[in-house]
Amino acid sequence: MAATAGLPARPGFASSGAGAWIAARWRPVVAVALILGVAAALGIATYRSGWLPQRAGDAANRMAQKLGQGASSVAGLFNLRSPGERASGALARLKVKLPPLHQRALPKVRRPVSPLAGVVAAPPVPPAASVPPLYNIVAPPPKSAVPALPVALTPSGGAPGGVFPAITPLPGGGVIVPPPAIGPPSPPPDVPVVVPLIPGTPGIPGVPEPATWAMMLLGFVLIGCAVRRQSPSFSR
Amino acid sequence: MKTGGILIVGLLLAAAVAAGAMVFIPQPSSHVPTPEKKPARADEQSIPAQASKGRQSLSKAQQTEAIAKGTLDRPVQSLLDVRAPLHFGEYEWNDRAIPAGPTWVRIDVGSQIISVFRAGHEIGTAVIVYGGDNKETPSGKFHILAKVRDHRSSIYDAAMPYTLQLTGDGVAIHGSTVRSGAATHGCIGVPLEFAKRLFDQAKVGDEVVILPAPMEARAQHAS
Repeated sequence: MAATAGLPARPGFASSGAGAWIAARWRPVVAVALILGVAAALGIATYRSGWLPQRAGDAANRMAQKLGQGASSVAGLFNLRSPGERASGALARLKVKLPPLHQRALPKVRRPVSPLAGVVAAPPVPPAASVPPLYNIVAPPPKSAVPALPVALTPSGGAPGGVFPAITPLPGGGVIVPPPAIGPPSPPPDVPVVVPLIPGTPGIPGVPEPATWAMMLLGFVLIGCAVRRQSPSFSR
Repeated sequence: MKTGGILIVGLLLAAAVAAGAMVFIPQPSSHVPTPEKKPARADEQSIPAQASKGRQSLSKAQQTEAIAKGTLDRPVQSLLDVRAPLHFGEYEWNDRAIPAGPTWVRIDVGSQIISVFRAGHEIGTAVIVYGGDNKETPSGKFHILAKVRDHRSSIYDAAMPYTLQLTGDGVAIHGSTVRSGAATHGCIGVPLEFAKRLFDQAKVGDEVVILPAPMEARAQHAS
């Protein structure tokens, strides 16, 4: 019994002929590797032999029989390929819901705000004499100043002529008022008349017309040309 | 004292035998009793003999029972021979020698299986994902309203490749990531390659039958 160098002699293994092929320090590793390899091979062979799938098939058959469906029925055949029912409470993890469309379609659009919305208790500005009034308010003339209408109620119905039309009485007691004479409509006497001093400008500045823009651009061009002419030229 | 050597040699031999067994033992076949196969009648749209490989014919009795129990709503002459549970993302497609004919789709939400039929024969099946608890997939009979190859959800901003629209509010069959435990917002998600095949097969107007989930079916039965 020749003892391996560095290790005490163990009966039956370390001193065997096969053990002499392998260095003593690697013998446990080789033995474990062999055992694991054999176990894996046996496991794979067992699986491929159909024993485990048979167990799975039996489980499927039992499930089908439990559901009252024989394995030969169509429902049983469908169940054989089914992964089973989904567990309840599955979450929708495939997609992320976005905010509604109206919130992300035009995010920079602001709603129009009234120009007076932000004005809080602005102090009244006294009218300055130097600022010319935009409107000329004409007070209505006093009623006493209005001359009485020279309406002549003539029983014959004949119109006396003149500026004011005649009112023709009817036999039933009604009165026919003829349409007023063609001319500028006169405002009601009690309402003050607002006459814009500058025609065409109702108080709100308008958008400049294209011609205005063109004129401004032409002015810029002319200014640029003038500056360019006055600037000293570079010497060559 | 050759015990150690004999042990190692024996282990090596056992490993070799097991490896050989792995190679030579065939794949497990079905241990489910195979239903009787009757020759196709003259009035049925039969398929050539070479096309019957990988599919299982259904007898008249099986068809009648399936229609009576509501498993099917029309005669089906053969199913794909899939005897093991499909994994999520897997699909089977076999339309060899299947004649042209009307196409319809059967979706069983309870078993998470979709089946595509053509001319009375099943040509494709896959595992699906369907609507979650608050976004149930509707059940019933639908018709394909539109086909969009590269659709994008306007509500969820998600890709919906190979969309087959079923309802006006957006429920559709489309390619999706099919994994265990996942759910959708009501759509039927199928594997992408399967969705492509189904998209090429189906036409606008084809029928899609969605069977209710078992809980829903039990609730309907109880009421």
